[in-house]
Order: sequence, then structure tokens, then C-alpha cells
Amino acid sequence: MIKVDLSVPHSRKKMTVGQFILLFLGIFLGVTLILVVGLLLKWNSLSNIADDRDELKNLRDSLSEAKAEMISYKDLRNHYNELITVQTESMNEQNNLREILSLLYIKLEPGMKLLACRIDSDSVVANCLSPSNVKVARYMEALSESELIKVDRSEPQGTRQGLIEHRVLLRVQ
Amino acid sequence: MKVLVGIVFGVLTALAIAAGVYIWMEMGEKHEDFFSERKGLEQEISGLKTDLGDWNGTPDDKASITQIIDSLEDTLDALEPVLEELLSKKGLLSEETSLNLAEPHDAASWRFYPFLLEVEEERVKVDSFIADLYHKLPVINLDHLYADWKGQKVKLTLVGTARFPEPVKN
Repeated sequence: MIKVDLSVPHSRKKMTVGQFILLFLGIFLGVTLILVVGLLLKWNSLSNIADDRDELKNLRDSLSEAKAEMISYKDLRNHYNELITVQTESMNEQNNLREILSLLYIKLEPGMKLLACRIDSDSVVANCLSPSNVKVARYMEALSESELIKVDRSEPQGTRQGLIEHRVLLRVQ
Repeated sequence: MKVLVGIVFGVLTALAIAAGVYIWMEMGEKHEDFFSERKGLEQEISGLKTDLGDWNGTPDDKASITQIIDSLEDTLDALEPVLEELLSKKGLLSEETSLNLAEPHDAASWRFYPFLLEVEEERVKVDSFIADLYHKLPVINLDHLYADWKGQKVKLTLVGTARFPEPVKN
């Protein structure tokens, strides 16, 4: 009986220590390289965001400066407007007062006398003496021609010095 | 020997991975911080842009406005200490004026001096007196005026306030 051994003889080559070190060094360097590349990519993205943030900070600072300038100018402008408004109102008030006083005097009908008047910001009360009610009516009509005052009514107050005393009520327009 | 080499490189690789992961996470945190900071800045900028609206820089009239304000305030500052003197000055009037000047009070960045002023003179002179008063004191306000005619003369009572810009409190 003949026995045939068909198995292929394998010669098991063992790795040398040097090859073993090279293998592990390769694995170590490969892992390190992957990590370094990953970290560099992350760092790049981080740098981009940081640059973005710095640009936004600069923009924010310049806008804040512009806002401070705007507020300062608006405050100045408001102050100016207030001063000018007060001054103009004062001037208008003076002109109105003088015109009302003058009107009350020059519009008097012949024979009429002005006794007193009180001028407020929105109303005028004038006390006058008149020989007749017709003259008072004419006086009021003459006063109503002015755009500054509007005649409200007149109230007879009795007689004085032989003349009729009237209280004329006017509204300042 | 091989075991030793395996252990040494295994430890080195693990350390490299651990360091990498640690740095990655640190960067991740930083990334989050930067990201939220950027978001905050974007919101702030958007708010500022809305506030600014169509603001195109300081207008050219700032210098002239400042000059007018300074000039007017200088004038008023100079008038305030001599207010009593100015109000009681008879000027063209032949008789002295009667003045009652109350203590000042401050309101809305102004200092108000209430006064009651009486003059007795011819109508034309009284008219000039009122004009002169407003000329001397550009910011007075009359609450009311009472005129009482006595023959050729008018007795005029003026009740009002003289106002001056309140000094800036430091």
C-alpha cells in the first residue's frame, strides 16, 4: 500500500523584529497623519470663523460710532430747535400783544373810551365806554376784521360817566 | 521583544488618538463660542443698522448749529445775572417800573424766573417798552397782560416768566 502525502508544505516565515517595528511605526504614523489632517481642517474652519467674527466686530464698532454720532447730532439739533422755537414763540407773542393792544385802541369809534383790557394767551377782555350800542357793534365788527382775534360777545355793564360800559370778549386765534 | 514593541507602539498610538480627540473637542468648544459670538454680533449689527436707518454721516450744518447755540447761550448766560436790573430798567419811561421777581425754578432743562412788572406811561411809550423788553430778553413768556387806561396814560401790568437754559449739572 502506497501512501501519497498531497499536502503542500508551507514554510512559515516569521517576521523579524525590524519588520515588526516598521509595521507598528507605519500604523502609528498613519494614525497620526489622519489626526493631523483632521485637526488642520478643523483649525482652518475655526480661523475662518474667527476672521469673520473680527470683521463683524470692526463693523459693529464703526456702526456704534456712527450711532453715537447720530445721537449726538440729534441731541444738538433738538436743543437748537427748542431754543429757536422758544425764541420765535416769544417774538410772535410780543408781536401779537402789541398788535392786539394797538387794535383795541385804534379801532375805537369816535366818542368811545377804552378803560382797561386783559390779554391772556387765548383770550382778551376789554372794558370800554361807548355813547351807543351801535358804536360798540361797529367796534366789534372792526376788531373782527383782524385775523389775530375773533369777537366772541359784548356784555353791557351799565352806565358810567353818561356812557354805556361794555365788556367786550375776544378770542385770540 | 515583539510584545514589547507592540505594547510601546500600541500605547503611543492610543496616546496620539487621545491627544487628537482632546484637541478636536477643545476646538469644537471654541468653534461653538465663536459661532455664538458671531451670531450675537450679527444680531447687534442688524439692530444698529435699523437704528441708523438712512443716517449718512453728520450733516454739514453741525458746525453752524453749534455756533448759533453757543452764541445764544452765551448771550442768555450773560443776561441771567442782570435779569432784575434789565426788568426794572425804565429806559424811555419817565417813571420807575415796579418789579416783583420770584425765586427761579428749574424744569425741562430751563430755569424759569416768574415776574410781575408794572409800568405807567403813555400808550406809545408803553408799546416801545414792551418791544424793548422782548429785545433785551429774547426768551420771555407772558402769562397775561393787564392794561388800565388812566387818561393819556396806561398802567400796564405784565405777568410772565423769563427763561434761561439750565446750566449743565456735572
